[in-house]
Amino acid sequence: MKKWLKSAWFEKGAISPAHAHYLRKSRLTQLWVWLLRFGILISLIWLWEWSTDSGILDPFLFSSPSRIWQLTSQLASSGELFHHIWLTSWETIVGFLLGTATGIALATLIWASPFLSQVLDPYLVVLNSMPKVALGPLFIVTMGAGFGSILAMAIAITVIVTTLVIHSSFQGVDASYSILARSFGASHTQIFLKIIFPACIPDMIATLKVNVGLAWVGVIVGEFLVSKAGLGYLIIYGFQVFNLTLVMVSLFIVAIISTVMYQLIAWLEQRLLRYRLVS
Amino acid sequence: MISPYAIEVKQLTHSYFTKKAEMIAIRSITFSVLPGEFLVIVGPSGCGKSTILSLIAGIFPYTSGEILLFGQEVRGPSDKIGYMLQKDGLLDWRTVEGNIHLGLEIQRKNTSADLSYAKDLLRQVGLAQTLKYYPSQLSGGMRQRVALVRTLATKPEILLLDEPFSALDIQHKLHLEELLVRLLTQQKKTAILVTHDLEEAIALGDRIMVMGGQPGEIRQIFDVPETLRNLSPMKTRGHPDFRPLFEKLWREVERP
Repeated sequence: MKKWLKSAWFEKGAISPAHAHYLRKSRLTQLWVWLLRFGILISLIWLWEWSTDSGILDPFLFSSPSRIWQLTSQLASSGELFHHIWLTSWETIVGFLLGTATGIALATLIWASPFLSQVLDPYLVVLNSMPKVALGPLFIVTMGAGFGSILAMAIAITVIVTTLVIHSSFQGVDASYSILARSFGASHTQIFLKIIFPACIPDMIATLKVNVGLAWVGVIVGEFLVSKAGLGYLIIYGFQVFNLTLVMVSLFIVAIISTVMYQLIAWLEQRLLRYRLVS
Repeated sequence: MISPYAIEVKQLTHSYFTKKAEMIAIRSITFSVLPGEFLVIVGPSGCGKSTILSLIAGIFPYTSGEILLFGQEVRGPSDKIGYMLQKDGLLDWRTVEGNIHLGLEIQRKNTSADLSYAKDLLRQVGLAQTLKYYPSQLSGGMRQRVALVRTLATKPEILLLDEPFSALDIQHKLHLEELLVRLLTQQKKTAILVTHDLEEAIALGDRIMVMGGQPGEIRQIFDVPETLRNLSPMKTRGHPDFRPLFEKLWREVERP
């Protein structure tokens, strides 16, 4: 181990002794960061397993890593799990894309007409402060207990906040940009397409990031209320039959998939905002 | 009707309104600019210099009076005008190439001939190699040169310059002045420059209009002597006639 720490790998690519010293230091730090990350994860899992094994925690209430693993592989091999994952992911993706797109469209509409913006302002304020989850029963009676209601929940939870954030972002665009475009004789539409909209793409991506999280809330709560399948359904079903291992399995899968979605958007952000990175 | 003037401003008055008050920015401004002439407007902050430029550019409608460009009344932004601000306003998300094409795109003039004219201008200001760069990769002086190219790319006959060089250090400022004078005389363009800097006013202007007061009014219009007019901006500053004119302007600007 000691010998390995002294190995040349840490200084690979060095162009001078001082640079080599710097590289060794920063790579060692990086190594420690990763070691500790995994260390914490593994010791938490071990602590959990050990305390349920030795009876300090009741495995009936708190499950255990081995039970979670067993159930996961069992559900996976029967293919049942993938059906739930697919359904929930699909609902989330559609919900958050539709919610964000509708929000941006609404923001564009009220940006284009300050009059309309004044008229709609109190409605937006009320809708924004309203806990959207409370609308659940209304969605169920209008759209039935199924896909439609769940989607409506995800959209309702994302659309208003998107509208408000994007609208204020539209208004926050540097006025000298608009004056410049006006001086070239740009029309209202041209100003929007060439200046306002592209200037706000960073903020739109930021709302995408927030909306992924919000759409998950909408979909999971929606599934709590109506569904016969999906990860939210597994959680509520597991709770009702007091199979806490099933609840834990679902929670872990939700955590993994939502992280993946977030990372995808972070990747998209890097692709779209390359102009910010160069300097 | 054919007018001998490129720009005529007659009895121009403009007010800004709020719920509680009317703020008169400029009152009864009258002046005219001949084609090919370079007029400089100087005066303290808040005397309405920039307002005059925005009104000539047709950015917003004026309260009363009249503005004519080559005999035609201003009713909104015109293709004849190029407007340049202190803030370069380069769009961060577009490359230099995209930025200099902006005006052409908006005016739907982006034919290959127009686009290559813009590229040629970029070469003339010495930035041909930055075509694919983003604005964040350029220095302040380079950014302002790109902004100048963007303004000239639509081939405006009149240039309105609102303190375009005030944020630059003296070295870049002098270089840009030289460049501007070279391009303008070469293309015989009419220009109005608004500035705080009296030296710059003398170095660039054919006539200098001093404004003051609140609401802003014209104090006096000075002719820059022939001896200074034909010199390059750098050489003007060293000429014996430079200092006396500077003192006169200074007194007029300082007068309460």
